[in-house]
Amino acid sequence: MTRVIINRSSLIPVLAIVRKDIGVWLRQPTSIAATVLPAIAFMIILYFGAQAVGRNPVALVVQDNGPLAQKLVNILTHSDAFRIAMISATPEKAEEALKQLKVAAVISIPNTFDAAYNAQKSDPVTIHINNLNLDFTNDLRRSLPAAITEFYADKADSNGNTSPIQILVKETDLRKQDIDLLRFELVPILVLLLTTAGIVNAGLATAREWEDSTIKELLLAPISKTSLIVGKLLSGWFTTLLIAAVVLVVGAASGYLRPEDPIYWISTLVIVLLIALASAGLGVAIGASARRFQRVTAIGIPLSIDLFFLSGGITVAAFLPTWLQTIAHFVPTFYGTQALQTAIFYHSTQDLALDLSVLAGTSLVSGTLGVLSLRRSMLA
Amino acid sequence: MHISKMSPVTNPIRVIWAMALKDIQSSLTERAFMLTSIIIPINFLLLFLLFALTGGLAPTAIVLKENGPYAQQLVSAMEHSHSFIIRQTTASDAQNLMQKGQIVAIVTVPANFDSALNLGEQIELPVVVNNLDVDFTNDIRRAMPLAITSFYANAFPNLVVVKVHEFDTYPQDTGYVQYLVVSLMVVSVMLGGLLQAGSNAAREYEKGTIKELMLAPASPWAIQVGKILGALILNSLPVVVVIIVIVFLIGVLPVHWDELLGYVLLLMMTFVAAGALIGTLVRRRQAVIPLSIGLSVPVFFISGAFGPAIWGDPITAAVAQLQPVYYGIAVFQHAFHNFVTTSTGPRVDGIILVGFAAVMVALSAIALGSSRGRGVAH
Repeated sequence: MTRVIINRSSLIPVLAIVRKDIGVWLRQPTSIAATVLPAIAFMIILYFGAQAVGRNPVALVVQDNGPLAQKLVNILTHSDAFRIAMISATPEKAEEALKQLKVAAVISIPNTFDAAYNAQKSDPVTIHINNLNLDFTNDLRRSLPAAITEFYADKADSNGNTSPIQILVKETDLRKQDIDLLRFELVPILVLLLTTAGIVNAGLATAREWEDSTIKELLLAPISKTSLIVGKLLSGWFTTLLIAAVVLVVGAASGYLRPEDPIYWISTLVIVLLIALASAGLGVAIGASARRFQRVTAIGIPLSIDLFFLSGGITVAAFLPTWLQTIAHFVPTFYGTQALQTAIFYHSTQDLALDLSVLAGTSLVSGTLGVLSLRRSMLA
Repeated sequence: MHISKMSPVTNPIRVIWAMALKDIQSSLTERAFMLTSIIIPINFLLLFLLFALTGGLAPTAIVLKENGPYAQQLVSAMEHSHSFIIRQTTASDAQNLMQKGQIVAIVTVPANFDSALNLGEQIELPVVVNNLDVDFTNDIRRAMPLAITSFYANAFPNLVVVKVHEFDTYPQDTGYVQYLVVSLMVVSVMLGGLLQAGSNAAREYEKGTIKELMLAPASPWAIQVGKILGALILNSLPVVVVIIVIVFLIGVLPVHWDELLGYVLLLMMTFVAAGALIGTLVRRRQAVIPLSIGLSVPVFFISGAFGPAIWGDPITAAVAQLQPVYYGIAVFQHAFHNFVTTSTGPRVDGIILVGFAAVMVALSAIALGSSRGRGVAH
């Protein structure tokens, strides 16, 4: 009976601290901005990145009106590797466009194209590339051979000959569906949002007590230090979950982030809960050590962005060099991102036990760090 | 003559110098933030470089069940397709690497590969793809047929006669990292300038010292120019560190040192003035950091960080041309690599940047002046 009364009496100050911190957070547009701005910035990047992927403008010089040349022109025009910005019969016009940076390359089909092809003689198509950097240049280098591949891919050409290429690619995909770049990258951005929200909000809520000198009142209040610490951790956690709830509801409603089965909904929610808890614990630790708003944002935001990049960020971890992949395996958000992508997109529980263990361990460690840091600062 | 008649306090040169000194001294007392404002731009530089390391090449395992000349030629064609990072492994090692997420595709060359081609028979080439996202997966889907066509063009020149003849504008290729690092320098200068000057300006409101400044017999222009000068001097430290990292650690040497130094100063002035403007408007240091990062990152991406912006989406390119990062990247690419990345050219870009610097300084001074008009309570 006595224990119940003690538990109830310690719950009230915990709830009061949570309510106060969430109330203050909602009245602080700068805190909300600090939470969502980095994620919004990366969303904008992704949007523009997805629009620009591999679509360089190219000028096409066509000097042969034969059917084979026209077939190649048709393939080039419909290529998704670049977009044809101009078609001309005069090379000078196209070269001028290249000089003025209106196009990234000029592809020329010579007037002997059909004749050389029919005579089975060497039949070069030239490409003049503005080779500013290897990324763009390699895209263009790949795109013309890809068009020639398509040119040869038809079983029968205009002369009724079968394709000389006898090697057929037999593709087997590991996953049931392809996920487009924008959707795929929404998950790391959700994780970025959760880590920023947890670290910055819990950090600011903790540092605020020192910045506004209200820590004295809290320490003199007839409540236990445990209630104070638990209240701070919970308020950071709940604030982060509030943001996560908004993103998940919008994601599910729009179909961009919608796990299919209830089991994947459950694993998604558990992963989100653990990431938010780990971030809030880290935020409390930073807030209690830094004790200043400015220091919390100066440490918290770059730290969240570092975690975002090191866990794969705006790319796919498998494409990173091996040494960088090794580093990524020591970053907890890597497991969070991987687990969410697996649950939401691939409807699988592959590696879920490992991912959850790492996230639970991280939550425990960061929560302990938060408790120790806050306790030490209160004693000081 | 006119200056000598003015009281010592209202002498603008003295006001500017006094403000600059005060801001430098105040900033030096906040060492933690000073350190952060140096670390954040360098941190960004290194993080984005990590992103560039992917380079769009797919780590792929090749399992050769046939070691004949055609099989070897196919491997060579794949290696030269600008699409793969090839590892030759056994089937079990390839599965193991795929499971660990270290490769994204396995290509198996079957045992009868050479003999089938010699006989002119059709043969299947099994490719297992970890289709994580469609962008990277499509790169592999495009790359395999083109490697096969290139293989045919070399192995059976009489069968595949249509070939690519390439010639390039510049005598040598520039690596993605070497290109990107120059663009990253602009965002580092921007971020450093916004953070330093923004915090210096907001500090006056947070600590209430803005009232004293506004009541002082000094023009807001002189005060703001002094603050800009102070932030410029403070910001030079992270900028020097960034230049050292780019030139001496990454090894990207500028072709035109004079242009580099001139444009660095010009960009620093532009972004420091922009930072002073932001700090004067938001009046909270807590808001300056997320705002600076939130502004720098997307602006950097739309401004042609990875290649000329005008090759991208036309609306984005038009928006990009309304702000200084677009021109900053262009003049830096010229200073480092002698590249022209805008239709206006580096000379006009430099003049436009001078205009941006003047407008930013003027706007920040006007914003400070309007504080006096509106009152300075925060």
